[in-house]
Amino acid sequence: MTESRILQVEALRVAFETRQGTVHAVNGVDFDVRPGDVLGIVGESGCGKSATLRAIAGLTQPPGEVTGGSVRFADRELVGLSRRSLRQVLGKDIGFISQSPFGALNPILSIEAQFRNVIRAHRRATKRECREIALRALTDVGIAGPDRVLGGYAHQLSGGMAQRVVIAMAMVHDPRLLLADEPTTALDVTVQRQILDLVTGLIAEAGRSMVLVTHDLSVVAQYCTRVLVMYAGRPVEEGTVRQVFKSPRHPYTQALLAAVPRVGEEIRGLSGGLPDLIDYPVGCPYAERCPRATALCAEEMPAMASCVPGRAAACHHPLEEVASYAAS
Amino acid sequence: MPLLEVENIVKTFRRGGGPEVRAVDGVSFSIESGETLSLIGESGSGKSTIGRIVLGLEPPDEGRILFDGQDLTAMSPRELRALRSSITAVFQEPYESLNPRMTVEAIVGEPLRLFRRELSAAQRRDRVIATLEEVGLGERVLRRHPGDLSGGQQQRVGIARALVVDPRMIVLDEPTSSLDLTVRATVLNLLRELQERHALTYLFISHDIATVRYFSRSTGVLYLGKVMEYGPTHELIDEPRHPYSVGLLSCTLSADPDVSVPAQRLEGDTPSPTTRRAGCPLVGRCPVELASCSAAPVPLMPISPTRSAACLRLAPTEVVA
Ligand SMILES: Nc1ncnc2c1ncn2[C@@H]1O[C@H](COP(=O)(O)OP(=O)(O)OP(=O)(O)O)[C@@H](O)[C@H]1O
Ligand SMILES: Nc1ncnc2c1ncn2[C@@H]1O[C@H](COP(=O)(O)OP(=O)(O)O)[C@@H](O)[C@H]1O
Ligand code: SF4
Ligand code: SF4
Ligand SMILES: [Mg+2]
Ligand SMILES: [Mg+2]
Repeated sequence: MTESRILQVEALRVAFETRQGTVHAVNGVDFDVRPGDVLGIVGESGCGKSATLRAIAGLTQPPGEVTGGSVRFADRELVGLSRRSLRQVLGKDIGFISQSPFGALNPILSIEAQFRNVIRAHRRATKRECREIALRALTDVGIAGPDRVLGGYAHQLSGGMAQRVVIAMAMVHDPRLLLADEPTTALDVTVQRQILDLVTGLIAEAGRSMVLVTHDLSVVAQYCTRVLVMYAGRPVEEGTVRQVFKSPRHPYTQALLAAVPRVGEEIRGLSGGLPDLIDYPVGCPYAERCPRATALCAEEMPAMASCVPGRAAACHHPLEEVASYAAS
Repeated sequence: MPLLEVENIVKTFRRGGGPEVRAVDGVSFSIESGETLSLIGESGSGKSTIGRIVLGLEPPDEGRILFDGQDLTAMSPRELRALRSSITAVFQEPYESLNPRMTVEAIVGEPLRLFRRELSAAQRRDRVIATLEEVGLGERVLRRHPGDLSGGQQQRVGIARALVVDPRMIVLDEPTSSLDLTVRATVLNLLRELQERHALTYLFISHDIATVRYFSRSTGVLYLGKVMEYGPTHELIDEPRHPYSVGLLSCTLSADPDVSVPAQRLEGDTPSPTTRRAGCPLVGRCPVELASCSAAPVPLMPISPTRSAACLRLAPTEVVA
């Protein structure tokens, strides 16, 4: 069983020390990723999606700290590894793509020089070899004039082109796992479509895997195989995309789906917001906004409970399962 | 009579001696009182520039804007100023459009200080409180600053500020783009309620097709400063006919995993807006282009009793397969 999991995240916790107190951003996140999985992580702003992803990639920075749990990549524990050992894995076996391509690129180095740095971080290569690798990588992400791009700088690229360059850099060492934090949020739908087709194509090609953080449910519906819904730093529901979208069991997932504009249907919003992450509630963190909440919910934190492997929800009073989607 | 008529407006920009950008290139549309017209298109297609021109924040190089039959482009600055409270705006980034050092009371009260000078301080305050209540915030946020509010609350403050002077029309420039899905839904529903209650006319600018579909009666699709297609929102989104609309809409993803996405129809990236084009702006990306498409400008023409499109392939009876 273990061999078939490329990534195992267990009881992961991340906290930020602030003047007001400790912000419990991630409070016990568990999930597995298998080869070929494209796992979507969704949830509202501030629920801990990025903090989770950055912790997995070893990118948590002060005042943030991983305060507990484990991240096993290909059966190797990453939490607690030294910077140096981590660097052997990151950028090589694990690629990372963030929302802003311009934040990821260096404004004063040519694209070619940046490729060289990325390549030489994990292998010896002459200038000429680096150039060849870079040209191939740029061609793979659908860039028509790769030589022109290599000679230029980040500011000369459109948002879509820059994100393609970042993806090409992330794929240079053929990573087995790609972590992407809202990779297309800043881009137009036409470019989003091209980039997501491209990235998921690269993933599917070689049995690689991907974790995709997004707030866009249609991106999950169309590009992910599995989905994890987070709320206030905790997973509240997980399953295949069809299970979760067609038969949500957690009231928060139901609320998210009800907010998507659809033909001929009214949309419903959700008033209120996330609970205080400094003074974290004892009971269900969703209780204040939940129409199904009872006294029990305010007292006791519901744990993720699963009936089928890979399908779980953390709720004392889950919604009825629609039978036809239970196994899909 | 439509409340707003925009006739053939053109706006060019030239950045520091660089090449000219035709941000808006001969755009016309009209909106009936109490209705919503959406403009959709990729970034840089000219949506916000049109919004700014309608708001009088930017003079057009050519063309006319008629508001309630009066030509805004022929008005003196003083007359324009009097009109400022009839057309207001809500912008995309609530935080950036609200002064962080001002309290909510001062932010929402500011347009009253400028345009309703006859009001006393106490009357102004009552008005601000009533408006905050209308947008679901109430008195408790009066003393707070934008930084202490969530994104959804900030956008409600932005809406209150646009509403407080009792406008007839509001330009909504991506009012929900920076908001979370669930918050977005509450803000959209609020905007719809307010429209009904006050018979407001909306110019709704967005790149989110699902939102547009939920929100508006008619829609114009913009590309490189030109209207490509125009018609009733539902018809246009369900059955786009202009090759650009077809391509744009094929990129919008369904949130239903059982509805698969069609193959993408547009090739390549949007060209630089500085490139001068004699003919149709889609030349080079269009899957059905003809040699004649690059010869001369392609005007927006009726293609059915309710719709129009700017495409040589779309004679009134023809459909792009
Ligand atoms: N540097 C920091 N200092 C203090 N608190 C932080 C810091 N970074 C994140 N947090 C807090 O941690 C929580 C989780 O943040 P995170 O960035 O993971 O959210 P997210 O789910 O990615 O949201 P979004 O959808 O807005 O990107 C939030 O409450 C946030 O305010
Ligand atoms: N103040 C300005 N100076 C120079 N160019 C501008 C200015 N405002 C807009 N533009 C250009 O005009 C075009 C249309 O921009 P805009 O109306 O903001 O598009 P949208 O809102 O559809 O994204 C773009 O090419 C943009 O760069
Ligand atoms: S545990 Fe209770 S409050 Fe929490 S989601 Fe379930 S029903 Fe709602
Ligand atoms: S006018 Fe020609 S190039 Fe333009 S959309 Fe129609 S067929 Fe395509
Ligand atoms: Mg984030
Ligand atoms: Mg804009």
